[in-house]
Formats: sequence, structure tokens, C-alpha cells
Amino acid sequence: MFTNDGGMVTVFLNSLKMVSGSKLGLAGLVVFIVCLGVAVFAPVLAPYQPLEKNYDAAGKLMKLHPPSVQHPLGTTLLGRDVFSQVIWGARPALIIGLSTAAGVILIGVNIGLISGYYGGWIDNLLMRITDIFMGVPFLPFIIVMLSLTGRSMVTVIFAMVIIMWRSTARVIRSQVLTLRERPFVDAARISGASGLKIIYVEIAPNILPIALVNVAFALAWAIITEASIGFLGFSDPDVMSWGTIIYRSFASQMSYKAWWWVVPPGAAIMVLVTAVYFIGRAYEEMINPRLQKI
Amino acid sequence: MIDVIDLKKYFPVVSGIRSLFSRSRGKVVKAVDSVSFQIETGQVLGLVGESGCGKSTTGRVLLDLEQPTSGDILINGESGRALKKKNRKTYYRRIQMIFQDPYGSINPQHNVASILSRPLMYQGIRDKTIIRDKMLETLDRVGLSPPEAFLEKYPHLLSGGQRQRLCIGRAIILEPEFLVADEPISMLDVSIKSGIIILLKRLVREQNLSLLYITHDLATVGHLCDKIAIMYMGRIVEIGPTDDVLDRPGHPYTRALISSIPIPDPSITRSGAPISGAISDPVNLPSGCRFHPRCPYAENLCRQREPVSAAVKDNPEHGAACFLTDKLPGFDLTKGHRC
Repeated sequence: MFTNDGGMVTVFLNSLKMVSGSKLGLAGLVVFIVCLGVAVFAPVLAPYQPLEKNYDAAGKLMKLHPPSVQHPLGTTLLGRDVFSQVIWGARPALIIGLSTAAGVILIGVNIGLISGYYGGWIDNLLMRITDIFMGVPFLPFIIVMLSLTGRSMVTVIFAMVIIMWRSTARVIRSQVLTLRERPFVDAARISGASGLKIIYVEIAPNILPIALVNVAFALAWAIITEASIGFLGFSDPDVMSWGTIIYRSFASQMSYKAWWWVVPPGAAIMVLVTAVYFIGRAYEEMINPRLQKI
Repeated sequence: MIDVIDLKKYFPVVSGIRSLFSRSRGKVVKAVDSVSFQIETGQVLGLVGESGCGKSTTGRVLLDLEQPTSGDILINGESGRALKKKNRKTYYRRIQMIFQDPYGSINPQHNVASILSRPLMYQGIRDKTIIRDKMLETLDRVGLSPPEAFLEKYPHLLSGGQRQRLCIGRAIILEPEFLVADEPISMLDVSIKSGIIILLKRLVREQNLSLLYITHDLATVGHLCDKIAIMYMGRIVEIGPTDDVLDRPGHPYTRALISSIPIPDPSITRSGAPISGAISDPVNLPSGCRFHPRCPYAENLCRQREPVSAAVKDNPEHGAACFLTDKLPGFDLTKGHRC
């Protein structure tokens, strides 16, 4: 998407530095990196397999056992270890979140750049397509798509990307509309740059900060949506995601007495999403100082 | 030798589907209306006028940043129209521009090396050592030294004057034959203006190029320009060698402009023709001479017919588009207007 200019990498590293400069941003980054570590090292960290049924010494299924030393967050109705499930749940959350955010930015930024820079009928066409996607209800679309194509993680990501690029494209386009009028674009044009060179070499580095804010918010939103789909029972039944854990507990009608089955995955979703929001918010404050100190 | 022939740029007042129903359909703003001039190699022409007279549009049309309505430019005998048609890139090897705003015309995300190397790379030069040598040479030429120290710098570390020098460097790195400078010093501190003027003067001499210096500021023109063209509402109303135009202006508008240059001496009072009012409506141009509503000498003839350029005081180099050139009262501007 971008050129290997070095400028891009610098902007990215600078933005990381900027985010960690604020307390909120630093807290968000730390939590996010911890979650990333948990997801990567889940097989090491989790004491049991997420779908493994646990039996006590007498060979009896450990149904709905409250938290103990052996099972720090208790067990489910089928004797599965909640702690291990929550740890394994970080994987789908992050995989789906990150791939969705990447896809959203890839499509949204490119559509925004091309639409904003070229204007005219290209802009009209792309923005009317965006309008059509603006009219598609988000969650119902994903549910319908999952029921039509089978419940895999790839489908979830695909369905989310296909809808979520719309707002990023709008935001980026509006930025490009102001950037393309700046004299440095004229200067590039008279040094012989083609339209694509102007878009990706001159304009793209300047919208990178906005794009990064959008990455953070798309990531948070994707994680929440993935949890919602899991909770509604539409996600891949073989993958133990946080939403699915809550769904199982709800479906078993045991959540009223087994709080340890519902609270940990719920808290995990909240903590991760909040952390990502903090990162996005801290970065937004840095690039738009008017948001600071209200 | 640069020869601009009958350049026109008309902007429609309304465009697109709305123009079918609008009362202003078919109306245009004649931003640049039949502008012609020549600049010898190694010479500077100052294009002077007030805001909105079309001087910047002239520059942008020459650089093809706006499509000309008609007209052409001959660069050492070659038609710009034909050059552009053949290859836009090679056209920009021969003509370059310096912009007014040294802050907006530099991409804040690129460092000096990539700003200067881009034009070379767009022109197909790939050899890293050639590019580096060329960059260092150019930085040195525009007075950014030591050049090595600037290559890795980002624009926010440069001052306004250094930025404008960088812009000049970017413009001359392709060794163009024609350079358009659109108010290159109007946004700079007073203390660095003269440095930029001296640099431009030196480059014109050393690189043997022609410079079109666009400005609203008559005071600096005398230092830099060999010739001056005065522009009013899209037309050149007076053109000629700097001394002739400034000392023996043949057009009332030129006189008014010269009279408006502040003289830093309160004891001097001057004659001259102060003009009143603002620039006329560019859509509905005045009949006859475009300047007559503001002209203190206007006669009936001026309201009926449009004057063409005629020699002032029998000097073929010096022309003014005014019926009354010979009848104007004596213009004895006491000293001081050429500061």
C-alpha cells in the first residue's frame, strides 16, 4: 500500500513513542502487549485444554466447581476449566481484531485516497458505493452471511471488513480533499510525478496519523463485534472465544449461580477493548491537541 | 528566449449540470486575457499587479497547473503545447516554479534529501551517486551549507528563508530554462528577503535562465528585473524596461501603483494619480478600457473602445495600453520611489 520510503516507518515509530508519552496511552499499550503475549503463549500459560473435560479424583465430572487452586476460575457445566478458556479466548479476539483492522484500513485508506484525490466521477462512484454500504445494517449482515457460508473465523473477518471500511474511507477522503489543495502537491506535479506517485508518496504519509487512529478504533470495534457474534451463538463452535464462553454459560442457564463462568470472559473483553480505546484516544489527543485537557 | 503568445485562461462562473439552468450560463471570468511577453535568456521580467489581477494564474497556466483556454509558450523556439503533448515530464525539465508559501509547498513528512531527489527520480535518474552529487551541488548553489548537514533534516527544522532556498533548489535541480517565481519573498521576514532576491539574481546569471518574477510589490522589482509588465484585470496594461516604466510610466494605473510605494521620508510629498474604488466586477467587465471606472483622466473614448498597446515616447521597447499616454500630465515623482 505504501512506499518503502522510511518516512512511513518513522511516522509509525514516532506515533508509538507519542502514545507511550501519555499515561492513558502507556497503560493501554501495556495491557495490549500483555494480551498479545497471552494469545501467543496460550498453550504454555493455560493449564488445561479449553475443551478438555476435567474429572476429580473419584472420576466424577467436575460440574460447575467454584474457583479453587486447581481451577483458579472454576469450571463449566461440562467440567471445562474457565481460566484456560479465557486464556485461549485471547487468540480469536486478537486474530479477528487485528486482521479486520488491517483489512479495513487497506480498503478504506485506498478508497479514500483515490476518491479524494481524483474527484469527479471516480469520487462520485466510490462515494455512492460507500453510501450503499452505509445503509447495510452491520450485525444482521454478518449473521446472515455466517448462516449462508458456514461459521469460520475467515468468514467473520471477511464480513466485518466488507462493512467497516465505509467510515474509514469517508474520513480519509475528507482529509485528502484538503491535502490535495496544498502547494506541495502542485510542486510534486510540476516535478513530473504521476497521479499515483502523488497519492502514495506525497499524500499518504500525511494521512497516516488519521489512519492509525482508525486502526485503533476499528480494532476495538472488531473485538466487540466478534464477542457479540460469539454471544449470539454464530461463531465457529470449535474456537473458544470470549463471546462463545458467555454464550455457553447463558445457554446452559447456569449463569445465575456460576458467576465465575460469565464474569472473567466479560472482564477480558472489557479490558482489551478499553486498552485499545486508550491507545487510540491517546494518539488522537497527540495529533489533535484540541482534545487535550478538557 | 521565452515567448508567451496570446495566453488566455477563462474560468466559467458556473460549471457542471447546474450551468444548464443558471442565469450566469456562459459567463466567464477572464483571469488571463491575451497576455503576451518575451523574456530573453538571462533576463528577468517582473509581472506586477494587485490581488486578483491574474498574475498568479498566468504563472499556474504556464506550468500547466491550470489548463490554458488558448495560447502557447515558446521555450527557445519550441512550442510548449507540443512539448506537453509529447511528454509532460520533459516539459517540466524546461520550466519550473517557485511557490509563494515556503511552508505549504514542502511536504512535512519528507526530509531534504527526498524532497530534492524526487524531481530527479521522476525524471528517470536512478544512479544514487549522481543523485547525491547533484543534491549537494544544488544545496551549495542555493546557499544551504554545509550541504551534507541538510540532507537528513526534516522541514520543521528549517527556517522560512532556508525553506524557500530549498524550494528554489528543488526548482533548479532539473536545470530548467524558464523559472516562474510566484511572490517568492512575500511570506518571508524582511531580513531574509534581500538574500533570496540576490540568490535569484545570481542563479539567473549563472544558470542562464529566464525568470518570470510575479509580485505585487513594485519596491523589489527594481532590484531584480530587467523588464516590468503591469497587469490589470487579466491584461498587461504596460510593459517595458524597468527604468522606463518606473520613471516614465505611460499608463495611469502604473502611475497609481508607483505612487502607492511608501517613501520612508515624511518630508516628501508627491504628485501622481491616486485611484479610488476597488477592482471592477471581473464577470461583467467594464466597457472600453477596463481601467476607466477608476481612472482620474478617463474620457468618453475610454468608455467606448478598448485601447491597444502603443509605444510610449516613441520607445518601441516600452508600450502602454492607454489612449491618453501622451496627454497625461507630467509625472515628476520626486526621488525615493526606487528604494
